[in-house]
Amino acid sequence: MNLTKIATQSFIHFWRSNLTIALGVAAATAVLTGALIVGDSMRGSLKQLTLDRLADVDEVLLAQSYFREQLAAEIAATEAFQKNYDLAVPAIMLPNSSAELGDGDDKVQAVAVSIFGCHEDFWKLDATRHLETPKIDEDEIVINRTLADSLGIGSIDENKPIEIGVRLPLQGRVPSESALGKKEELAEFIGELKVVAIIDDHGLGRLSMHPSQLPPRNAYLSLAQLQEVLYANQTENKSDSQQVNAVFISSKNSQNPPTPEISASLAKSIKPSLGDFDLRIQQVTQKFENETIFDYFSVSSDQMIMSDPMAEVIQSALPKAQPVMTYLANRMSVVSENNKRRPIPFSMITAIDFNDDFAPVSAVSGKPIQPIRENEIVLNSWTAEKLDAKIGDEIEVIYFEPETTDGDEVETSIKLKLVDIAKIEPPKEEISDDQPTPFSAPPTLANDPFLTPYVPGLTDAESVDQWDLPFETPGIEKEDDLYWKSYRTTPKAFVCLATGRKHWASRFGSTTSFRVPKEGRDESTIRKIVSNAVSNAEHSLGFELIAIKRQGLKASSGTTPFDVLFLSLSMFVIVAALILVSILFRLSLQQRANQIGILAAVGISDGLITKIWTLEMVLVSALGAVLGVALGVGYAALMILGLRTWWVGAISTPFIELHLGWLSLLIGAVAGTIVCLMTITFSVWRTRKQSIRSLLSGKLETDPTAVRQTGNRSKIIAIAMFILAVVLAGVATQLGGESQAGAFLGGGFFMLAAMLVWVWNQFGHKKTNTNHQHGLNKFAMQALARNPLRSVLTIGLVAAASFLIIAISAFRLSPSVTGTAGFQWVATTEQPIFEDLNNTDVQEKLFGVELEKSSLVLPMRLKSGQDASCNNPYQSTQPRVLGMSKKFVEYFDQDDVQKFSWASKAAKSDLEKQNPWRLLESTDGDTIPVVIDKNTAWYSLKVYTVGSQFDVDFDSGESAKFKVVGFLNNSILQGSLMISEKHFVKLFPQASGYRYFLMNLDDANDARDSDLDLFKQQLSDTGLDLKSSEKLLAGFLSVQNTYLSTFQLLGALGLLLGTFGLAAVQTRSVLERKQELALMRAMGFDRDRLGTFVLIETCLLLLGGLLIGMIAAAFVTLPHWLLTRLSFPWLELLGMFAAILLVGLITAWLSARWISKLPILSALRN
Amino acid sequence: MTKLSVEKLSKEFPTPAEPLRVLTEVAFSLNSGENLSIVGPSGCGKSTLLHIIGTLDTPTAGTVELDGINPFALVPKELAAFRNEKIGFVFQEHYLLPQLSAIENVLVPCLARGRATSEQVDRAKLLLKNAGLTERENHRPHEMSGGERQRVAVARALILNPVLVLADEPTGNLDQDTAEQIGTLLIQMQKNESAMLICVTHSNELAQRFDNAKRLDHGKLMDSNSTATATGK
Repeated sequence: MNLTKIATQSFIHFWRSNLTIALGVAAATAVLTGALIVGDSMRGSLKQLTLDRLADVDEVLLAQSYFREQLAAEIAATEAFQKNYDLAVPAIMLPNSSAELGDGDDKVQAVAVSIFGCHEDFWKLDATRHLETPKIDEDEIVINRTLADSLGIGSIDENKPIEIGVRLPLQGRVPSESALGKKEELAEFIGELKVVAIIDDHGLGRLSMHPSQLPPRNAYLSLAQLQEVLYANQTENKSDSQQVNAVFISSKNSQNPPTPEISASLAKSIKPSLGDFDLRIQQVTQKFENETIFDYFSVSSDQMIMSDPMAEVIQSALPKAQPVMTYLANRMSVVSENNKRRPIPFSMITAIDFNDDFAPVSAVSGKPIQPIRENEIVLNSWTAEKLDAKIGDEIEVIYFEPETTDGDEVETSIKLKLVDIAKIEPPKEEISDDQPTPFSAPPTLANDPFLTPYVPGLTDAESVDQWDLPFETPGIEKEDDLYWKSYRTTPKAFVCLATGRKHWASRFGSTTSFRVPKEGRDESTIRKIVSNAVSNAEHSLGFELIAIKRQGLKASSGTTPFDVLFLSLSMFVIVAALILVSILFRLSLQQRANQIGILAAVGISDGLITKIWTLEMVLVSALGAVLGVALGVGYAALMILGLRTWWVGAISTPFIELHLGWLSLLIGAVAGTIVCLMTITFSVWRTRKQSIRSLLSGKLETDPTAVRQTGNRSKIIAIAMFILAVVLAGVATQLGGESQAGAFLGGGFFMLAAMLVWVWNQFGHKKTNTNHQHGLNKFAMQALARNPLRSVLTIGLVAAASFLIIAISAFRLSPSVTGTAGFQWVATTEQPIFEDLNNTDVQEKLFGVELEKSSLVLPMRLKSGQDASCNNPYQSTQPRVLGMSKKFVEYFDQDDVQKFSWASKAAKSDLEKQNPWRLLESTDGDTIPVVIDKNTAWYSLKVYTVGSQFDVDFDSGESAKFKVVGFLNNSILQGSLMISEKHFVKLFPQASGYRYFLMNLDDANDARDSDLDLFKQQLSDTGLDLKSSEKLLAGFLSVQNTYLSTFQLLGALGLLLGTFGLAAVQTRSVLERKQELALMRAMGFDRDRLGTFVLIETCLLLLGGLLIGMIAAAFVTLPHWLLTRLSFPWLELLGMFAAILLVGLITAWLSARWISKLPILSALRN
Repeated sequence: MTKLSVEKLSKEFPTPAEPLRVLTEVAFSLNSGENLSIVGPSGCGKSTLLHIIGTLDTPTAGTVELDGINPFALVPKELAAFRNEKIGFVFQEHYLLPQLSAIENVLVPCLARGRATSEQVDRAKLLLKNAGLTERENHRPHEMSGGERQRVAVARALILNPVLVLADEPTGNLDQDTAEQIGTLLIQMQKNESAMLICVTHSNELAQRFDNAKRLDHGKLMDSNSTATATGK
């Protein structure tokens, strides 16, 4: 005989009570394991979705402009590729597109459509899924199921072909928001595309660059057709018409994406051509007879202006290259009352620093012109003559600001002092693009049209009237056209580089070309130098190799740790299960107390007794844990079913599936065993306080006959708490939002405590009872008063649980005006809108009428990115960014407009306090001030305080450090980073126009279409997507509300488990009094009557707890509900409590029934 | 006239070896107003006999008839009602409910039929008065002495005018003086109520104060001064 044998035999002998405890352990383990499995399932499902979304695509090469399709083959031929990669498929990807079915009133439009231009190799990227390769010919299209659903297309019938149209975004090569950029016709419509297949939302059918659980709307066209359309509209400057903007790359191992080192090695081996970077290098030579006038290399960009990073790379590769900034002046004139000459319209002015390499000869002195200083100008001789300008004259240069405002070119001017006149020689005949220009006398350095970069529609025009500019060109006369024909883009004036950059540099760049001295080098040498420099540049210069699968898998860890979340949500159930384990164990201990007494009486030490019990309980816990793990899988399956159905609001779409991780099962089992064992060991340890005599007599408690008394102090405390509760509720009515809910909750808590103290007082208060004609109810009440602490604790636990379950409803959120700032609509467009839609002229132009005075549109810039709102369970690393326009910020300066609710802000000045949006305009080194919705910041970005800083690296190559200056409260602007427009355009120079709008549209005009209808009709081509801000906000808030519902339901489950505990407590209480109850049987109480008595006791505890909890909760929720007009889940809660009551009553009845069958004699004999 | 009749009452308890016989053909009868004490060594079956007469246990053989009723023929519900109506118990432990006052404890048996009537409340007061506990009516058990608690238990046994009062070592936990007082009270109140009283006890002093005294030895009931193994009336 040894300890283990005693423990094992006890384990078997007392199998009934041990099984009961094991079931309690199983309940706790099941909940623990279940929560961990829910976490596994969320991560597993997100990972599965990522793998599904990307098919075999591991990496994507993206570029800001189009590049040669051939680059894909060049990549595939590299050693780095062949070692680890399998396929490199070129394609065109156009995410901001829209699709249309039908026309007129029957037109159905789907926005946020991604269009892929692909050839057959594209479908090899989905090889593992055996997707049937769709063959797409010209004028055919394949769509995915989600897009088909959005367009209302069910299936394809060969006899009734369906044709749809798509609208593709066209990116102007010259930035749209530069003065020469196109602001219209930025989309191309391709109609009558026959839908030849609808593919499922799997694999390439849900291909998307952004991780989201929602399937995207995808359409697939033939690459050749897209290339044809784009060549006609956008890529006509390219030598090769076969252009693409993406290469999808798959690795040899489709399950494990390449390591960062492998990706880096591939990235290094990618060598786009200069043309792919839109760079143009040409040798510019001007000779006269045998004399070389100039002979240099011009490095320019087809985008008219080079980005600053690109210019820096070229400058460092070619240190002697002279940066040139050529700009179009609208007019030049002499500032003099006496000078009546016509201003010279539309002239090129070149900003370049004169030096030994470039010093045009003076028409005045015949010598090279000295370097020009700031605020000085040199005119060429033609211009000086036409203006009759003299050295020392003040020349006014009128030009458009380099960046447009609200889509409009804004004219401005500078006055510069004429310091010299550069001689130019007129050609013998008109300039021809193909032939060298013939001169009768030697031309000069100033005779150089190549100082102006190539601008399609301008520099390639034969005559002035062929100019294709986005603005009117008034004032041009015959002599101007003659100049164009003779000199083309030869600058009419020069300023120094500093002056030029001061006035004409923009976010798009500050260099139009480089003038590279020849120095004995040929063109191929220069090409090589530049090519190496741009390929090896640290800055991506527009090309990014994105490790999309690795990023996606990383994001699959999720925004919310669902295991922790569900552990927290299930805390009620876990605590209830542990209490149940403790109670059941104590019950078992009660029944076997004499055993401990006997062991102690024969001299076995406390430690050894604890060891024997612990050994037995290890077996019990292990049994429970094994059962619990199995039940945990079921519990997790139930939670997942909940997330797929009732709580789908928390995850937007039912994508989650059960994923079992062995580690979670093991952790659940071990954690369940340990936690339960600790609970049990603590109970055994507590018996050390018991005397051997009491243990031998089967008693665990100290003298139960000593009824504790309470005095008036508790009554005073109860009254004080009640007053405090009322005061807090009063204060709460003056507050708003979550602080109001918090104050109400605090009030309710004090109300609950007051009632419990009152019950305590009533139990312990000794009263002289003169009416003795009471029945069983009073008798039961008196029985409860016998151990007021236990009774009040039991009532308190039930009350606290029911209070929390109901009162948490006060935190349910409903859309409020502070969340929408009073705006009715949130709109996004696929194509940017440049104009101010509040401008009546713009309204006339766009809608044909002026909108109502009360209609208002606040525009924002949009950098597409990941949805960082709580609707997206993926971890967001590159959230969407909004650039809040000046109009938006200024709007909130007004006192009488509805403001957003701010959770916190870093406002210091009065203006910032009055309008915290002003904080966005501050500058603090390289950090960009940002406002974020608190939910987005806390749960998605893990940013918790104002003043926090965080870095974001965007796939498009930009990197930024943001500093939080304010948090919004539950707003429609969730999911985005909000920065000022000033910072936005600097950070994302390529993102042009406004694509995000808050709007109030008047719809009360009976005489014509409402403003809302006008927007829908006239802006549909921009891919307008209008959403009711209230519905949008309700969608955001539903996530929190769903979690609250989950908490309530799991809380109810915990309370339900608690009712079993209650029954066990009552059983234990009855066992302590079994002799008295046996005596009652002896006195003639029949079983039913005795059972009823015990039942009444249990019901008093259960109902008392529920009632107190409900009253306290009503104290919280009713005023909150009345004040905020919240929808209250009456039915859900009623159902939950009815179930708790029913189960509680059944359990109590079963317990009473068992008690009533206790043998009278053995009880009496004890 | 009410009569208790016990005929050839035997009781055996099953054991793994052979049945353990505790009572052997016990027989006696008692009329209303009569009392009987039973003495005997520990384990002789005194309490078992009392429990069988009090219908808390069943005999292996023989019959018990009270007021012309064989209680063992009753269904459990009827049996409980029978016990409530006809029998009052006093145990060695008082088994008073600590949460109730003295008078409330006395009234507990009334709850088996519903709520206590005003007549029953009056009767409880009277019984407590007769027990010398008027001043203690509203006191709880822990505020009373051991003797007072047992007097409350006696009053409780009599509250429903039982025809038979069964006392199982009623003075076992009390000192001699208090035990004497309780014995007196028991007999006095039994006489007042014209009930039958059977008291099993170790105490010869107490036993001698009863009208009839018997001794239980090896399961057989005999006159207290007899050594024969005969049944006696």
